[in-house]
Amino acid sequence: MSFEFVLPVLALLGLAVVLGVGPWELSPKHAVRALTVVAVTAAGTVGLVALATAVGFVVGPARRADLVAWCRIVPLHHDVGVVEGVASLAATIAMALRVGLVLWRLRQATRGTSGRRLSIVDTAQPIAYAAPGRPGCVVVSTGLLSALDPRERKVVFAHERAHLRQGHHRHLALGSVAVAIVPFLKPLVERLRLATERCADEEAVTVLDGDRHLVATAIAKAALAKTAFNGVVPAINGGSVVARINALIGTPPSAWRGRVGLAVMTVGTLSVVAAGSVQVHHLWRLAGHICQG
Amino acid sequence: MAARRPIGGLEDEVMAYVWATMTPATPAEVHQAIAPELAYTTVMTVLTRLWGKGLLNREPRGRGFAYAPVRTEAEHKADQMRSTLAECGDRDAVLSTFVASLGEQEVALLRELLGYDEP
Repeated sequence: MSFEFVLPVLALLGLAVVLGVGPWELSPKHAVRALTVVAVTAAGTVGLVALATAVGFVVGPARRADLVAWCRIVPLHHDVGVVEGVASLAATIAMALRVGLVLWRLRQATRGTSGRRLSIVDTAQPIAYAAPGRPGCVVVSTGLLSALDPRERKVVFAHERAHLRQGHHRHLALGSVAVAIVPFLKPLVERLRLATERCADEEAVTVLDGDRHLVATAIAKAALAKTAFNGVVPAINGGSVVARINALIGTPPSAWRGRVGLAVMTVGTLSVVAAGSVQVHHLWRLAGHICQG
Repeated sequence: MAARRPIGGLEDEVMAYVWATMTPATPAEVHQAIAPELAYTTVMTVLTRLWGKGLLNREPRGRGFAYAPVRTEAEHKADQMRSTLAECGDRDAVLSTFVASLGEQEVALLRELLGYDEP
């Protein structure tokens, strides 16, 4: 496999791990944007490399010149070995299937809510989520409502409306597709998910007149109700609930940690975009071909 | 208290209240529970409007009415389906759910935070 292919892929995956696992602290709004960019660029580059190698293997370099224009866009200028070719072909098919599944689930999950602002589900199971659409629908179950008092219910509505207003479903959809392409991006996208929850929590604090303790209490009660219903799941990402509560009522992070986080995130995002654009080199080559031909 | 709040927000809170209480609620109860800082007539208006939209049933109680949510079979089924999907969504990260499930340690931590007795 050529150097131009391997380098950006390694750089991207390395950065994705650093940004997904490292102890960086950052304002939730910055994090949502930066992590989405990183996830999409990383998945896009890896997906393109796999697709290009697979197509190159199937078509073979000798015949590529005779193909229709879009096939010639595939940026290959070397032969693809059998092992490499079969592996990338399998990877491409797996990616396509996983992306299809994610898109199908997204469609299913948002069906039937259009036109309504609020949908109350009559079930003891504690549920609350935001279903995107126009105008977007908050789905909440009686099980959750009865676990909370009226002011805590306001927190749930404010939180879910914040998700809808800030369009977090777009970020999460992009993140889910990125994970479908590169499962390696999972920690990064979990962090993105946490950042969207933090944004919505802070919005709820604003709506509830700055009462951080109330928002934290509502989150804690809802999480306990849900866990009591579903049973304790060992080692699930319940850490996100604790992280949100800490961020609301715990000791605020020191200023320097925030700045280090911002610096790492900015440098990381820029590097990832730069690494992704190494692929532009191939487009440049293609342009050269076309001009000569 | 904030001077204005969106009327849609108040409707949501009223719907949430009548669904959560399970027994028919009078305007006075709803007013007291969710928006004592607003005028009683505002809550009254919202209840009447939700009844007009067919979202609430009402029955005579004293000199006024008591309100309860309308449960329709079709909506119930559709929502059940969505609730199942919501649980899938929790794992697959396609939707923004309010809270994730907890592990054992977190349960203990949150119970302590809320001042619940240790079991």
